[in-house]
Amino acid sequence: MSDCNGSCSTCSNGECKDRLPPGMLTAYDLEQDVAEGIMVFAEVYEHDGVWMLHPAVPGLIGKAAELSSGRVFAVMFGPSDLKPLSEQLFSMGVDTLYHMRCPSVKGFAPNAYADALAELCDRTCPASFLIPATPQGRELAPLTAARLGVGLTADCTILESDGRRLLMTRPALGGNILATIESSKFPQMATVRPGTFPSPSLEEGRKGTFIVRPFRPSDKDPEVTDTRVSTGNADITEAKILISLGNGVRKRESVDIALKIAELIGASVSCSRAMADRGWLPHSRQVGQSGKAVSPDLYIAFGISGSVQHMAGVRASRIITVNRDADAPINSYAEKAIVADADAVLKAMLRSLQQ
Amino acid sequence: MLVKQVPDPSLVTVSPQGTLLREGVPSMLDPFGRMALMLALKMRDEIGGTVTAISMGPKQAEEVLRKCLEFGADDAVLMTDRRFAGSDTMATARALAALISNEGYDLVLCGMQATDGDTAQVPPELATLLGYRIYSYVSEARFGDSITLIQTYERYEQDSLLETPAVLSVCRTPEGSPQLPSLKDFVRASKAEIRTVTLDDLQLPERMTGLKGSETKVTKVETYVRETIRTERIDGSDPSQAADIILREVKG
Repeated sequence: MSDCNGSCSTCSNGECKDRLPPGMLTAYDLEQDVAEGIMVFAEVYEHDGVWMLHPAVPGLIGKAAELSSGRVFAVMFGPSDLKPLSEQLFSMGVDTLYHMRCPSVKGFAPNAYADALAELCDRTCPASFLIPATPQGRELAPLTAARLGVGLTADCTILESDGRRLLMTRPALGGNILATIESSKFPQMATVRPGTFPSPSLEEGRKGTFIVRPFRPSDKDPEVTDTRVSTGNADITEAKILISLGNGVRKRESVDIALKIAELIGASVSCSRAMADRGWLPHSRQVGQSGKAVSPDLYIAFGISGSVQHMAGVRASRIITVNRDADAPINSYAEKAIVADADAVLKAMLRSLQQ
Repeated sequence: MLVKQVPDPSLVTVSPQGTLLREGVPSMLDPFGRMALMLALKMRDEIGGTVTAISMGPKQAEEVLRKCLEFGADDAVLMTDRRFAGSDTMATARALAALISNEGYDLVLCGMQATDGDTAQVPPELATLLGYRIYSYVSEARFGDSITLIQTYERYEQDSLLETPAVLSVCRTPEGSPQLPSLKDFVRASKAEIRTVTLDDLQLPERMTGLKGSETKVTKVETYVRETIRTERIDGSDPSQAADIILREVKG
């Protein structure tokens, strides 16, 4: 441990005199010159044996390419099967892609990933590091930031740059205000709400550097005894039509009715926080401040009052509402506001479609 | 078990200058913090031990700690000091980590996020600083020879074996949680002492917490006002008529 400069987070045996307390590691500061470029965490997942990029990734890479004065780095974790994704990532604007591999790590391993990401940041010194605000990203980002001892801004909806400096803007306190936040050290880390930025146009045949790096498992990661795929977690950020359910939906059967209608008209079902907290729909379908940002062509809101927190996630071209309350705040943003019982109208829609 | 007092978000208003008017807004126990409390109590009842409710905040945060005691927490600690003010998530996590390691708690439960900041960053940062394991998005715990935690991610759920020391972030109210405190706990809570801890008690340098210890700073604040549009209001007393209007828009 004699060559340890104190910037590692692993040597905790007390022998190393230079070791700083956790969270006070000597990460590079903003005065330092070497930091350059933007790193993006390219989250991937396996679906029916095929590896796919998380839908939140392309928009993030497009934004990184737009903001970066240097290179755009991307990093992904997984087996060799995901190499085919590299062409996709290069065509979106990635210059250097790191593929982190470890044969003994199966599935998402937050501590092992965070160790590897912190080490990669130390090595590549990106000025900024952007991570999708997905459940995995929201866990990984703070684990990595704490290892590096740098700041982290959650759920940004606007990113701007001033040279290498990143201006991170997010809705705060229930979406009533927009706060712009700056980090004091490199890499400036931010998670970005899925669906915030549009996918970039692809430059077919664009080339980049592909680097495979090994990473180590972490004894801090949990022993997982069973994994079950959750059903019905269709991605709501991609939907053209959303049927969105809120607190005004009183009957549990209305959820199944909405799912059937969605199937018949080619829509997806999303919800407000009230509905997700009730457990009637998973949090992955939640729209708003603490959920996802959606931008469908048509947003049909059933029994949603339209709190600022909820509306912070709605960027629909057109909104139609169904509410018992004619003065629900959401009606101020709707083209058509139908004053009616949400459960009854859902039932009538399904009946009409099945005729 | 960590809880936070948050202003009722639907009631926060913004002044024309863009500052928040939190005065007079009723505070409440954060909903995710409440879930963490419920899971902590359930685990205590299964495996023993004590539940300490910890909150970092102004003096008024005593109210939420009192609420935790009413629900059955064994004791409560309020971390309050003007030098904690302005802490970002890292500065908050450092102060919490100092208290937790000083007092030797080996199982720390927090809400997945607090509804005022919604960052969800404190639990993983805290786990990293403490060198504890992190179990994120815990929706339920099952008890047998060992404790299994159910963690809910975007496309899957997983069963993980709990090994301590650990930090858990809780995202759902566990089964069998009481809606109301028992009369006995309620009475006990009204008399209970809430311990106060300041920065001096933590053996943490001042530069590591509060505004000074924060790694991020807010450089601009704007009020956000969404543009309203002209709305056509439709009487939907006949559901099938309303349904047809919507379906026409869908085909639009």
